[in-house]
Amino acid sequence: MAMGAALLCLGGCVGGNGSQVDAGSDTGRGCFDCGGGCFDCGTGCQCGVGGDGNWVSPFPNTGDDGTWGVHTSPLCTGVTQVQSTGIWSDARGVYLLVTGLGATSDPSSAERDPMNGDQDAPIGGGGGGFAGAGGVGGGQSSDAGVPINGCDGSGCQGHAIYFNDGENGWQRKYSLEDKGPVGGFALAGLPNGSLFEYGGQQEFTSLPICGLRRVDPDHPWTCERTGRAPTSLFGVSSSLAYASIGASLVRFDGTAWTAHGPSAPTDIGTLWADENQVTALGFQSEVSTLRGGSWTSETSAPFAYRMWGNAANDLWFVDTSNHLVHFDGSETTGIADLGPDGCGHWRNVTGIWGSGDSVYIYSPSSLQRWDGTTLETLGDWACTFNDGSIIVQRVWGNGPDEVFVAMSDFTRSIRRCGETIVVYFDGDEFHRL
Amino acid sequence: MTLERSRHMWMLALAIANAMGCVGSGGGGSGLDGGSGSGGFTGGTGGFMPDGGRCFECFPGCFDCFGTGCFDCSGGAGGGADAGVTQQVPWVPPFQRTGENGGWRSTGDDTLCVGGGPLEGFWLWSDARGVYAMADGNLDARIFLGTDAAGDGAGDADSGGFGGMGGGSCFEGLEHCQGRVIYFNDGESGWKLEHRTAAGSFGGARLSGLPLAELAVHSSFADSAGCTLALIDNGTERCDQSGPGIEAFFGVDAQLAFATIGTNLLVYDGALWNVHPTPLPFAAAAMWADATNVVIVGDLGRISRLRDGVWTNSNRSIESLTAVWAGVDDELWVGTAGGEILHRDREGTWQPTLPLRGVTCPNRDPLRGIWGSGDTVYFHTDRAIARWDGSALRELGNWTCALPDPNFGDNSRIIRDIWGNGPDEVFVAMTDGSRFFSRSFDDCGDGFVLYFDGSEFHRL
Repeated sequence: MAMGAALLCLGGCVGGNGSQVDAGSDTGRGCFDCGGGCFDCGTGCQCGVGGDGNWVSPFPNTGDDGTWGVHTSPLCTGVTQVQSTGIWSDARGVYLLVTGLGATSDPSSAERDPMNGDQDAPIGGGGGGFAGAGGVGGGQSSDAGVPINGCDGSGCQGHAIYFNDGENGWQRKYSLEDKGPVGGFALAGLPNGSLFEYGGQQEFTSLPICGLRRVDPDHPWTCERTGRAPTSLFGVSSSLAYASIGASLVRFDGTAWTAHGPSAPTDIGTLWADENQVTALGFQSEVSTLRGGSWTSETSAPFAYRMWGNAANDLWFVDTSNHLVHFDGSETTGIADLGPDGCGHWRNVTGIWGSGDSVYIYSPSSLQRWDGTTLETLGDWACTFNDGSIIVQRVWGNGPDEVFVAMSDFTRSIRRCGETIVVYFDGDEFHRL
Repeated sequence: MTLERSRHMWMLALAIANAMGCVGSGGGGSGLDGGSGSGGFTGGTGGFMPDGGRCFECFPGCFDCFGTGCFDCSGGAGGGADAGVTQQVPWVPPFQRTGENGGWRSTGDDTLCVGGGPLEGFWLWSDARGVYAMADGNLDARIFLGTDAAGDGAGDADSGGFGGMGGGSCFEGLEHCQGRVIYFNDGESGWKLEHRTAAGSFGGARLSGLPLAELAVHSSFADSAGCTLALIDNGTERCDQSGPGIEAFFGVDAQLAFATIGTNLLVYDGALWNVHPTPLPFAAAAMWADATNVVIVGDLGRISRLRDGVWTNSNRSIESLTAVWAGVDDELWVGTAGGEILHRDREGTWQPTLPLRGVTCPNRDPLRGIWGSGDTVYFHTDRAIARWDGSALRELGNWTCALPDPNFGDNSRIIRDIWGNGPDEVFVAMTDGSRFFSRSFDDCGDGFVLYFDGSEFHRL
């Protein structure tokens, strides 16, 4: 497909003041599309410079960038030293949570620390500089480094939520400066309702951390709870969500959170819910359902530690033996052995997401899909990509063939556009978004 | 500090003092152990610093102002601050409206000098008799503040610091210096040692009491003697509860107090504790009570009131609730872990939440305590204090904007406790962790008591 704004501009390009204010666009190799067909590859906005390039996707079956909705340039957050990454989507579009240094700064105005230039020069930089097609200033130390545009130390540190509606490209929709610890947060939402950021690494600080924030136009970052944070949050509808805090359940009715029902038998790790019930996977693999005001222990899914639900009779688990297990409401059935990762090691599954007949299972270095009949490994790079420099953080989607993968590429911490990459999977190919 | 070092320093100081001809010239102010007089340490039981300064009368008429020994005898004729003894930088309360030291009832300007440190707990409680302050901790060698009237190298029992515990026992081994000390000020005679025990709770024990009756020391985990609730009656301490921790305590009057253990409500009738027949609906984080009501708050926004044997439950948000106070006509004040104040007015309507933090501060220090009298209610976090005057919340102090640093700067100053006897007779217990590093060996420690008269704070 066409590369849109990220095309090579040969002469006659003027201006370039950076039309992207909140969320800039990344041309693919760390160059910033500063508008007017001009690009900043680390030394300022220049015209006649090719910002185009190819971020190397770890998925074998990768197509052109974009292709989801109306094509726009790839995400450019400017966040380095990413502390948390979350992704969630609904019919409105896809939301990305990023916390870390630079979350509240404008990547278009970020500068580079020349002192860090040579030693931190980006890989493939053709002598230390940004390469790219027609790359500028090979070997210029100012190409690399960390943003110093007021982002030294804890400055510019915070939380940011980016949004892409498939038409207008990425926008930074919400941001919150936060000088405290910003690691360990996740993102969830209510379909056509509020977003919630939850979590936080409470154990690493004596600072009281807000463990649950509501984020919507009327409640931008409103703290709903301090201290012990929810471990899981599931939005059922625009006016119903549940979250787990220890063994307790809390319920959101579209307006406020309140304690809900009796405590679960043990602390809850993951939740799934619909209008009639809440199913909890405990940290000790117990599966319990709250229905009619009391908890019922379900047929066990031995050693389950990840869960996804499509319906009360369509729950999916991954157990510690790397088996995908299905629960139909009355009994569990082993579906598939996920096998070892590409290095021959135990596959450290970090999450499941599904829709229809498709279930996506991901680890930091792999993505698999169960399509109802077969298990397909869509990507597995456990022993490549610089020993884990690229990892899958979260997966969410709107349908079996509309799946979003939030990733971190740690080699990009020296890039103006930051470490975070979003990939869209159309059921056949991956596309950087 | 070892015993040998202690003795060495004392002998060195004494030798220097003698060599300077500085002996016994303190006039009326030479009393190291409660002596007083014009020109001397006014009203000072040993170990109390004049005017909040940091000089210590280490020998009659001679002073140690740098913690390096008893070198300054220039003020020998009169002693004390009035005689020109060098004053180290006094401790300055972090409140804009701070007046002169003292000023409560007929007390002078002497201030409490808590030796040792760093304190792990510093709490207070008051009734019509006066104000009690309790230091609690597992202390290190810096506890050896204290006077030695007998000249035997042992700390005086009432020298004001942990070093004075046991009339010298502290010098026999550090373990004897751990524990709790309760100081008392009746508003007339200044501070004195009320009670001490070798059992400590590593800061976990709180001080409370039954008005005009026993003091209560309670903690959510057992102290080193295995006790979680001790009542102190005229200096005699008895352990009324060992084992399970006390989560909340409230003394109503001389013959009624409540305590909670898990979901059990314990009721004290002035002689015995009994378990209330109706259990708590949840484990309480804080409690308030009067003769006919018990109100508890806990996690997930839960608030419950016991009246006529029945608990009435309500929910406010899902915050952890940390403090509660009930006022006139069922008016209710609740503090959250997010530093906010929930207020239900006398008509039973919840009013908009009040934040207790700086307007532009992202910090969310938990609400640590609420105390009230009539229409006036005081609230505090670690680094902010405010007063509700019946119609509006007025901030009295706030240094929350910098991130906490336990050792240095503004954030080392922490409000530990508030209690009072009336709207304009309020006491604040504070610690200043920076004192542990900046003060000299023999200086007062890091615990301070302030008196708020409704207008100004005064170091007490």
